[in-house]
Amino acid sequence: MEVEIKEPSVELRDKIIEISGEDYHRCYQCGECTSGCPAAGEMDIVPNQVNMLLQSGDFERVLESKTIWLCVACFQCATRCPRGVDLSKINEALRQIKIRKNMDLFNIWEVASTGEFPAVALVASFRKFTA
Amino acid sequence: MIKYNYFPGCTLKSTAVELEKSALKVSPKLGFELVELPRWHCCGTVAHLSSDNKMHSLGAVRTMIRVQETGDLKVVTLCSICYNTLLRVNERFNTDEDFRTAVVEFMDEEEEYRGEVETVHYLQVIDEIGFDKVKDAVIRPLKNLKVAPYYGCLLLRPRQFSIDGNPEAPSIMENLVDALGAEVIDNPYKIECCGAFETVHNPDQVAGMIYNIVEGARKNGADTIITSCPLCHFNLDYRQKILEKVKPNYEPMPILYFTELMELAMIEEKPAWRRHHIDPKPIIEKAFGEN
Ligand code: SF4
Ligand code: SF4
Repeated sequence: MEVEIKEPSVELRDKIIEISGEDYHRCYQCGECTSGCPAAGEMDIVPNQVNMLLQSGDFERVLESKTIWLCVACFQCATRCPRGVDLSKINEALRQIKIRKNMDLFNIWEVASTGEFPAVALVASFRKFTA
Repeated sequence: MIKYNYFPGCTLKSTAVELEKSALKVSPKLGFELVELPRWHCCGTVAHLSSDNKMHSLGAVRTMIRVQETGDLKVVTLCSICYNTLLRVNERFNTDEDFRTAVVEFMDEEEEYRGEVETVHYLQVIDEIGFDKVKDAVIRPLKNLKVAPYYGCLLLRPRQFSIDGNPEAPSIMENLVDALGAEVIDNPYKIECCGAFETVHNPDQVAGMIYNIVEGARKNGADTIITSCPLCHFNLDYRQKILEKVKPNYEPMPILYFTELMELAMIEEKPAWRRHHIDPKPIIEKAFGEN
């Protein structure tokens, strides 16, 4: 992956760190998170690359990625990271930055009518992906 | 008989009624009774991962206040999601001063929560009672059945809340399967995520994930997979319908709640489970020695 070093937006940097409570600068790119991530195969940027891009200041590329919406919050990355970085929280912060601008990933009414979902699925999905 | 506070959570009253019903049937066989909390709330389903969101944790705190009001601080859950959410919110309440103050002030109409509720999973209750007692309660050893336990995420992670202290190689469900007389089947995917809430808008991703889990169990010879999570059950069960459509000659595998497996081994009558998408009849027949 080609990485462009950018001048980071201080405001966005602080927001990501504040909402997630995690400092992505701690990551040393061992790749442990990616090797255990059950959704990595579908992701356009794999978990360790999320941290790499954040470290290089390319916030836009991460915020526009599919990855943040494919993370299933399984906590495997957090459990295995030797540097104690919780990527599930970083992905949550990145989603929140989008969602708090009143963004919905999908139309609630349309998707809810596609199956007889358990209550937990609906509540969790709406909390994760809609404003 | 020992009585425990019991928090069902919303899904056990709808799509996962069988998880609850079978648990209520087998508990007395093991010498305890689950007493449902009055006026409980949805736990919120996902412990909120952003440091500045407090609102999504209120349901869990309110439920723990209901527990506190009973005078007995222990509460039992059957759902992996409730288990995880109550524990995480309680931990945050006890470690994040800002969160605690804001929540207590916001809920000033309630008795003040003290952060002392102990949430345990039904599997841990059984573990404490002892698998020997489980063996004693078996009237129909499941010797024809090959069962692959599936843990998923929320019984295991984060690490400090893992159900038996071993998030990479748990064994509590294996002990149960063994005590019920069935053959334990290992599955390399037993601690992998089922796709969780992605199922609502992204069913194909979930179908891909559960395919690995079901095939992992099948390759080792399993007849069925057991789980304690209503969302894992839905994904493993219902999302096989997609696999039936896209994979030629796909053979669906019935998925049971761990309490249903207990019911097969401990209850006289044949079960009449109605909320399964993949028919569990072959498993019931095998348990009853009918094929
Ligand atoms: S496991 Fe931790 S240190 Fe290693 S790449 Fe992932 S986030 Fe970075
Ligand atoms: S929490 Fe998200 S990023 Fe981490 S392993 Fe699970 S799916 Fe991958």
